[in-house]
Amino acid sequence: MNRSQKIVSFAALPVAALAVAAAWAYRHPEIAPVELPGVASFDSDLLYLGEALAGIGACEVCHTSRGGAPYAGGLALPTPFGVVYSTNITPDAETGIGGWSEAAFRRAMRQGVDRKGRHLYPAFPYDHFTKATDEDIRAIYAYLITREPVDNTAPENELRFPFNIRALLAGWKLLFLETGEYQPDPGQNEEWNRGAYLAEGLGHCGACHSPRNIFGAVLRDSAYDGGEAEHWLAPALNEKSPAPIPWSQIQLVNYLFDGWDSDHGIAGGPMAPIVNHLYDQSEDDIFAIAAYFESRQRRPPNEAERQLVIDRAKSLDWVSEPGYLPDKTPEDPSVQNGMEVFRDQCSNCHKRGGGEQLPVSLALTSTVNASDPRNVIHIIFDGIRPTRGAMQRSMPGMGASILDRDIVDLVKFLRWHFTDLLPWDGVAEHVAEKRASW
Amino acid sequence: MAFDLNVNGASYTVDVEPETPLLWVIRDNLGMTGTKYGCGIAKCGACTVHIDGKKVFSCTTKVSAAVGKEITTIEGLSEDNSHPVQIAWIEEDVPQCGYCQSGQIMAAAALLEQHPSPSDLNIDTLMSDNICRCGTYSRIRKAIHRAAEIAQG
Repeated sequence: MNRSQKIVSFAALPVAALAVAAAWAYRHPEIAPVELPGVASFDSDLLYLGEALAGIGACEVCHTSRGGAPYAGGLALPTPFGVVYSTNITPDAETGIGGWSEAAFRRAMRQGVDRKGRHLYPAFPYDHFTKATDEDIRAIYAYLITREPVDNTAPENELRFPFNIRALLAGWKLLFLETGEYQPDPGQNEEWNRGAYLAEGLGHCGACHSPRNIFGAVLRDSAYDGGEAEHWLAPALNEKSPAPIPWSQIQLVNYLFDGWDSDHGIAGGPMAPIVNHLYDQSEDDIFAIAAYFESRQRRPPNEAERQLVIDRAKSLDWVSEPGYLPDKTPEDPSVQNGMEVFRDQCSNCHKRGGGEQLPVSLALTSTVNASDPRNVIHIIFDGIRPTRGAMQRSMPGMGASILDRDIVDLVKFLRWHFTDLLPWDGVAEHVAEKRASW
Repeated sequence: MAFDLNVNGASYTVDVEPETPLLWVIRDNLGMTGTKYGCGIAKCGACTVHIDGKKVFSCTTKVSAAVGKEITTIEGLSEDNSHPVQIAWIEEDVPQCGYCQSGQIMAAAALLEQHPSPSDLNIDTLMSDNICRCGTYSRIRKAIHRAAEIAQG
């Protein structure tokens, strides 16, 4: 247990006391199992809506283990409190949500309680799902319970004491959970409100893109200031976005559908499976989500300002000619070596000129402009897998073909060369951490 | 400079410059020519081998970065073509001209380690670094599904 974990455990004690009281006040009864209605009992439009909304929520991403059946659960979700395993949400009677009535499902989505009345951990983002309408919850219910049942029991959670006591969640909910449907903002138009409803509710964007307090609750006052997902940094989606060109609505649409925008680059890490689900969504909903996040950005640049940023970024692109050296050359021997690694390993693709197929100028990416080097290290190790809307774009992972000390130097060079920002702290530690878990 | 390498379970010592691409060492120094040279700049996948079970492009991997690691080439995937991917490749008659195929097979074997029951999307995205100019992609996809079945018995 490290120091911050000790502090959390210590600080958890008064909350524990509160929780014991709250647990009594907030007991939930078991909802008796029911015979599940068959596919025929649902209107096909409702099932299509459910499929689309399950895609907006990307339920499958967390509720599917590597190589496992869709929605059958078992994926390990690392949290600061230990590992939570996602549950089986196929309609299997023993191991899944077979036997769950619509009321039981709605209670889980709204209040984070399972059919038997046990509190669910907020790794299941009911703090967001609570905002969904009854009709939308019903559609998702209809969709999920008409999938193939799969017999699969998720491993037991591996949470440290006292977080392994579910009753404590009553206290957590008392402090941090605000239940209830999304309330439209009358000062905004319909598109914006639709986007806000989807992003704040089923889309649960803030679950990764907002910071959390030491109890793992999303900090509402710092919404979209940037957070964390599976050891990746989830960049800020508001005026703190590290993107040199603030996102416009159409750029967000490009990114959300295709996983690619020419002023920002490609989706990677945990965002890639999200955009692969958004690929099938309606234009109306994606434009709405984009409108909502555009409104939270810095003022979009005018065309001249945008061109200035792009020209500057392009001027930093590597030139693929023998003997080429950038205008400023590093003095730090580590950054110097990083430049040589970049020339040898990266500059065949990350270079100036060429066509549509080339990657975006690195200087334009959130990745090199981010507050820490985690994402760039993940990408160097694992590469980039193409998304459904950008199948021609990928990057091979280099984790097995570049030595760690060269990766460290490369990361330092990327920051030094492509940004004017301060060097990252702890690059070597982050690389060592990645290697250890690789 | 002398480098000790572990290739397909056997130890070798080669005397080359440290920046020599692993591909050249495998082909020229060790005489294992199953791994192919395609582009030399990590853009085609013909030179795919495994290092510690992960797929890498041997054309842009320096020999000095492979020391102390387990290197597996197409020759070492199995002793008798019995790897599920090899069986599936033969069953489905995947290759056309064949030049890219050892790279494809190595990439497919690495993919199945990661995704024992891959979806089409898993295959399309994880195989996207390996190019086939004959266009055998649909057979590659089919054979990977078949290999997954064989591996699971």
